[in-house]
Amino acid sequence: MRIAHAPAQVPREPRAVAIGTFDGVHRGHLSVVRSAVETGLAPTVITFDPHPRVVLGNRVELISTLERRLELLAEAGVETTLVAPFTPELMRLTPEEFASSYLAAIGAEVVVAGADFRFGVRRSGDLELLGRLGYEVRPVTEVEEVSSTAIRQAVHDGDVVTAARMLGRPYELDGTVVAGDQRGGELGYPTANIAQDPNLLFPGDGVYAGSTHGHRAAVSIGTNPHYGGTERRIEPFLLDYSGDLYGQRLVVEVWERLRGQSVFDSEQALVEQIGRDVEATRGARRPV
Amino acid sequence: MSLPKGLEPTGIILLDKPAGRSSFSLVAETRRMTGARTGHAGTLDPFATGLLLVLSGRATKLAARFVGLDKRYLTEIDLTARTSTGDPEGEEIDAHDPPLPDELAASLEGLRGDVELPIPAASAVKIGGERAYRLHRRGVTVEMPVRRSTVHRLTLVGYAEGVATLDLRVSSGTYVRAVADVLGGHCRSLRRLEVGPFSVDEADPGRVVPVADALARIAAGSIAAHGDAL
Repeated sequence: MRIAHAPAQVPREPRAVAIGTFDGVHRGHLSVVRSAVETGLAPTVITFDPHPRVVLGNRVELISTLERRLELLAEAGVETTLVAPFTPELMRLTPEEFASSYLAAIGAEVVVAGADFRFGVRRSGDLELLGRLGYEVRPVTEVEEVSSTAIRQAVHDGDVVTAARMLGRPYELDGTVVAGDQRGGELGYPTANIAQDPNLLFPGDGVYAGSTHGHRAAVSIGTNPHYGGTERRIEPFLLDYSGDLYGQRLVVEVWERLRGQSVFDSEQALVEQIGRDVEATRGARRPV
Repeated sequence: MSLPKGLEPTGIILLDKPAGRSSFSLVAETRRMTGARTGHAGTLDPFATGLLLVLSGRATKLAARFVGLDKRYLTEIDLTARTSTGDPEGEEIDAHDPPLPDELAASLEGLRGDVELPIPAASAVKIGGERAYRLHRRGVTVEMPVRRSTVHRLTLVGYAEGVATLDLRVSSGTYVRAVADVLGGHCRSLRRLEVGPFSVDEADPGRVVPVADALARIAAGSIAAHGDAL
């Protein structure tokens, strides 16, 4: 898949264009991409970075990083993705200006989008306008109950199984391994402490089963209440692994929530519970 | 722009995909050359070679008629190590001694007929010139969902120095990389020889097979197959 950052970098050829943020690249998004691929024209995505809601100053919790979005779009069959910088200038474009600079310029013939797609200054442009401008418009009906909002809610609730059903793949954490409290090693369960982009979604507290780096992993999310911590942490313990991941990017699949966080009567009780979490992780099933 | 354009030529183009290129790039190249709407009827992994059916013009709507066809492959499987993707581009995992010929024969027998094989990790797809599937950070999951398939015919063409060459005919949706993984190895090479009645020997980028001819050949193949059962 070719990645471009401006329309001038995209050769003009007959294209079916899907426009959107595609956060999470969930099953609804994949349905839109599939529709573009099925036209037989060059399947093309126009997406935005940073996410428009971030630029507009709203608190946003992204489901995936831009890099992961691009990987998933490529796997879905997109030939070219234009990552348009979401700038004040772009925000001020009228729908006609956007269509001219971003669609006509790259050879778009078909536009694929959800039926309620809006674009341009004051969200004044819609699919009907694009039809009047001469584009063949293909509205894609939403996949039942699948939306980025619903996925965020499910992940907040710790319901990663429902999130996976909507995504069409397991929900993932994505970040870099940084220094932690080093306490896990002393307990016999060294963990990788993961720092995610602050704009990324943070799951509800709890202990989860998942996998990363070729190993199953028991993932603790929370403040470590037994030790009176105040910072929320993401700490996967990789089963049957003894290497050092410090400084590495790690993508962790989160499969199911095992339990909530607690304060234990003793450190021994905590260690015993972790042992049970590890066994539960061995038997956990990958959703989807 | 109100009349649909790009409907000619309409038909099926048989290509022999070279190694190292994604199926999507061949489709894109064909589209640029003909100016017609262009799609495909079943991709090949980038590392693989062989028959790729490209659908042109009105034939892009007929993908469903071609996607379900049986496929025939020739593959060299390195039985000394599995990889995370089942192909040479993945990370090596689990190196071991290759099986003895009897052990291999027994494993192959177990693969004939109806089988349940895992769907392997995505094969490398290049984005922006770099391989997207960066294995040192992608968690390779330990259990992938399985899919039922049928191995209609499996022939061991040769076995030397831990590499087995197999000629196999399988139902649609069967991943040869998963077959390699189940045998304890990975595909060193993979070539698609046939898709339904179409052979890679017929590949010719300059020839557009009319839709009616293609569908007739598929129907004839289906009648012949069922004829054996009558």
